[in-house]
Amino acid sequence: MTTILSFENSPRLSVPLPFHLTAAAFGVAAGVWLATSPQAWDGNRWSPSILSLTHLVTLGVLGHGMVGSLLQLLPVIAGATVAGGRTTAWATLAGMSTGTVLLVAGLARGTAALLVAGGAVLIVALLAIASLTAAAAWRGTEADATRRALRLAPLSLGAVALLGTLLVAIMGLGAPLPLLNVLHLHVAWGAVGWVCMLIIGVGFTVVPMFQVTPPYPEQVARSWAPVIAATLVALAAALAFSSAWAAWLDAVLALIVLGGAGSTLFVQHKSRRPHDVTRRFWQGSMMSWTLAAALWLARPWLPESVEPWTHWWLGVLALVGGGVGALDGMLFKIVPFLCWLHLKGRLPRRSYVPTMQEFIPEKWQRAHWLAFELSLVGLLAMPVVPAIGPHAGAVFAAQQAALLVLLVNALRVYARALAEGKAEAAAARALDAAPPSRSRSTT
Amino acid sequence: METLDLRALPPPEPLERVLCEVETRPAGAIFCVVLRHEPHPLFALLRQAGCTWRGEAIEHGYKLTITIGR
Repeated sequence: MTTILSFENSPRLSVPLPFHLTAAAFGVAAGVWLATSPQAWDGNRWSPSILSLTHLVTLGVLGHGMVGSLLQLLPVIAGATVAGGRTTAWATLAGMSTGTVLLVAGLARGTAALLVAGGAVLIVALLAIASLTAAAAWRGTEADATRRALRLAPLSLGAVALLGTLLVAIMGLGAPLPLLNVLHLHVAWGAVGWVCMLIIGVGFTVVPMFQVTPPYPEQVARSWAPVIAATLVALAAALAFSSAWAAWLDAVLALIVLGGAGSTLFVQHKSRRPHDVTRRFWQGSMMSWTLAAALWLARPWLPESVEPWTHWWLGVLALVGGGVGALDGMLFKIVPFLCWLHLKGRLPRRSYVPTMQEFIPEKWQRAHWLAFELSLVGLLAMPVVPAIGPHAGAVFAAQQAALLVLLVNALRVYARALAEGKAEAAAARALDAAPPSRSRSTT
Repeated sequence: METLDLRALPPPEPLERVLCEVETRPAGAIFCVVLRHEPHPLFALLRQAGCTWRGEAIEHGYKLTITIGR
């Protein structure tokens, strides 16, 4: 009988999963916020309510979800481990979640002290994790398309955090800096340099692998992360020198997003698993980014009266439809895979290991996807039918709560299989160690 | 040498297939597998199974030559 095997080199479940559970909890909070705020949408994207909601999604859901994904994918895809392991992860989680709560409270109540405290905690946590993940990703010499994204995306996260700190300094301390330019860069680095770059960059590996598609077009994959980084640096220079090129560079960023999302849709079209739920999540996500990029490019020709609506739609499409959708969809693959991998590593060879479907049943994945798309449609309809807002918020909260339950259930299946496998191994060892039984005399 | 192309299988099936081959082949046997990507998680499992391996990136995949070494 094989002994219980050590599996110290793989990413521990306790590193990424707390981030995903926290992200879902912030998702519930965002949904409840919207559900209980009938006046959430007042046509003003600068209102405390909209700013708070935006940061619950960007920092709370996307921030935690993407940092957790980065920590779990670096060892699996790039063979790189982040210094400090679980201690780094948990300290970052504590800083990010505390900072997010303080910042959101500061934005909602207009309290400068809360805003500054939140910003201070966040900059420490985000810069620390950005530098540690970047250092892990830059170790080693070989770099494919995904590793290039894994190397550059943490640098974008650092830039987003620094720009966010400048915004806190402007809003909370009255620092004499150009608010609109800093905000412009904060949004561009965050949405394209961090969220899009990392998700599609990781997609170059995980979409063909998990959704069984052909590889991405070589030119798109090879140039994706470096071209985004170069465009963002050029945009920063253009804004610093008040150049008219800034508007063109915005358009270039939108075209890059169109290229990445379009390429993903193209390879997904040839998937050998057309009914896969993650594929549906990612199709919705890429369509959202396609629509967001097209809407951004079309803005100069849209009537001025729909300008406030456009900002809401851009935010919902880019952050919820694109970002949250892709993240939730990939969780349904990555979490069962990590559970399976850890059981394989920790149990004797012939022990029973549950299938991927047993960790998160497909019917629940499908139900979650339907609820997610329903909430997305509701959020997009809000500017036209404001009364739908609380209902869309309630559905969003419910599906994020369901995600939380599904992730906890996957952990429960993992723990049960681990306990049963260890018990069987112990029983088999005891049997092997027992002296051979003697035949009883019958005379 | 026998080569198994496992690129059409979704995770974790390629890993399961490799571990199954490792269990059923005799000590000293050598076989090749072609995967979509450098399988970092598999290396720990192969090490635990007492195998040695040599890997190389190829076009649209990663070729792994495994020697059973129980």
